[in-house]
Amino acid sequence: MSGVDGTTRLPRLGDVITRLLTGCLGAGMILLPASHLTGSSRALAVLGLVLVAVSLAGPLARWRIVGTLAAATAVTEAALTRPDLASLAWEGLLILGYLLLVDAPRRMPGTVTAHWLWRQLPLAVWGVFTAAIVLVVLAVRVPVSAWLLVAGAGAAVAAVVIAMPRRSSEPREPR
Amino acid sequence: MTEGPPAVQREPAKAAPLTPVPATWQAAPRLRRLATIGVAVVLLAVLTRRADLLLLGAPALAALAAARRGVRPETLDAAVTAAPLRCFEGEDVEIVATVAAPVDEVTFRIMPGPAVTIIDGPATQVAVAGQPASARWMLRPHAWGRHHLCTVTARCTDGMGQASLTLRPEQVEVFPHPPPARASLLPADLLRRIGEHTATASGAGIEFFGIRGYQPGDRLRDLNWAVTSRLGQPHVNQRAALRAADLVIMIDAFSDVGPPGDTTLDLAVRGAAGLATAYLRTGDRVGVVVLGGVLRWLAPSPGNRQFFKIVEMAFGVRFPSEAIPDLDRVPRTALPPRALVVLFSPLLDRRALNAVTDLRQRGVSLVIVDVLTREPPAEPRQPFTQLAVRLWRLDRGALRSGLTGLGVPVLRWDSEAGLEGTQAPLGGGGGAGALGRGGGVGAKLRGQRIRAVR
Repeated sequence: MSGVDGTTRLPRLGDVITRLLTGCLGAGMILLPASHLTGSSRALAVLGLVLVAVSLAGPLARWRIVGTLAAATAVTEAALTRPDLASLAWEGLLILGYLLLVDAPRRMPGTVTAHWLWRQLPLAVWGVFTAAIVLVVLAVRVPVSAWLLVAGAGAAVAAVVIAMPRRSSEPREPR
Repeated sequence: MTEGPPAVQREPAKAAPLTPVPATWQAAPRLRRLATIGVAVVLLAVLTRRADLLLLGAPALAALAAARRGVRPETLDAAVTAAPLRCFEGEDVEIVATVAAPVDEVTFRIMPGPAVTIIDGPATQVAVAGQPASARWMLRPHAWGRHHLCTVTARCTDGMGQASLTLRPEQVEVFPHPPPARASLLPADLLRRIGEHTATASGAGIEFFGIRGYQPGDRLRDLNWAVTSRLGQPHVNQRAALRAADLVIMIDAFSDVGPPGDTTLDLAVRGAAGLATAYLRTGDRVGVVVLGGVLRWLAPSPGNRQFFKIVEMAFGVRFPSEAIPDLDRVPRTALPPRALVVLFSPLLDRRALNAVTDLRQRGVSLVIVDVLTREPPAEPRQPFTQLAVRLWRLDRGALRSGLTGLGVPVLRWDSEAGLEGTQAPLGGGGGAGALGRGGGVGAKLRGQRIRAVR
């Protein structure tokens, strides 16, 4: 890493811990369904690992799309194979963890890193809670229903709409 | 007597009042990532008719839904301060950026201006909620002038929204660091004011001036007993008077070449500051005339206050101009006839050379300090560029010879060394034109009434 003034700076401990954690989660989400891959589809695992590595360090790390592509690769891997429900739930949680941590600000001191990680915990808990609910719902034998899938899609859209930042409805004060 | 420039009054760092800064909220990158993956998984599940795939995107969608929501403020209270607001080149300035807003995370990033380096503090600093959202850096400016030292970007993340604030501290007045110099160049005719320079007239100084016959009123302790006993008549020692001098510093602002912080204009103003410091320290009067842009001047005056007046005038010289200076506009008070004029110039602009000729025709005592320290770059593989550089050197030599023939000594100043070394060639021992009486060791320069005192 190099500073603005041209001097080389060693990465901080908090930075190393965050990246290590992100790397583990990223490698896990790629390698978990990789054992079920066959033939040329194994190239996906290699591609995913490369994307995870690139998203953590190097000049391309500041391209935010690299992390998204790595997660998309993991999803594709899982779609190509037919793992059991528990594996899929773990995969979903690994993807969430990776997506949360890959956004961590760089060069944080140790105390700030701990505080930042602590603030991500509620989102992770919500993810675990939701994964458990979906797992239970899917484990119960019900006939395949297109309505259920449509409801899921609707829920996804609603989640995005709710989470989108919105402007104040009050008229702006004239300057 | 203290060496160096007059001290700048350093005000203590104080917290600036927070001001509301307009914030434009956008979707944070995390929202885009989670939404992309969540929606992609749901679509995949629908297309492949595999409900189990929803397990891949459900946690991401849940995190999206659980993120903090609400109406975000249109303005965020923020401030960035710089302290001190006046300093010399090479001194440290503290920058403190503060954001007082209920946001999850603030990432501060500083972008120092040209010729400014970060001495302390990482360029990017992060503050999370629950901690004071502020960042601190120490910057060191290397170029004089009145300028913003940096720009601070504060990226505020709140839930899945993000706003970026651009903050700029107040302008800092960076004074040029004066190189070491001595008040060794003097006009032949000093002023009638009492100063520290040995004049060519008798007075109440300490240096020996001459011997004359005793006159009623002379002090007995001034009797020169050796001469009195030899001649049989009482004789007394005379001492040289101590007088002040007028110095007018001219700055050629027509040309400004070189890297930021080390341009010819930077050197010229630093040299002017060094010379002004040295002469003001000895009680002389110093004035300044800026050639280039609008012709501006400051009449010679003594005292430390004059140093800051000169430097503040120099702050406004950095802008291009096509105007031709008319020295007739400079009043007699700003360019006294008995003053020594020192011109700091890279000798690149014809208008400055015309001004030199004009000054010589008026009989002004003039010395030029050449501040061009770099040669044009020559490409080793291309012989024509090397030839061009050689021609350029010859041209510069001819120019300097022409000026010397005109009676204007040209001193070359390497910015690495102080001005003392530059003045040394003029301080060479008493030659044919040495000023014997009361002038100490010195030399009368060709055709000019200048004394160079060692």
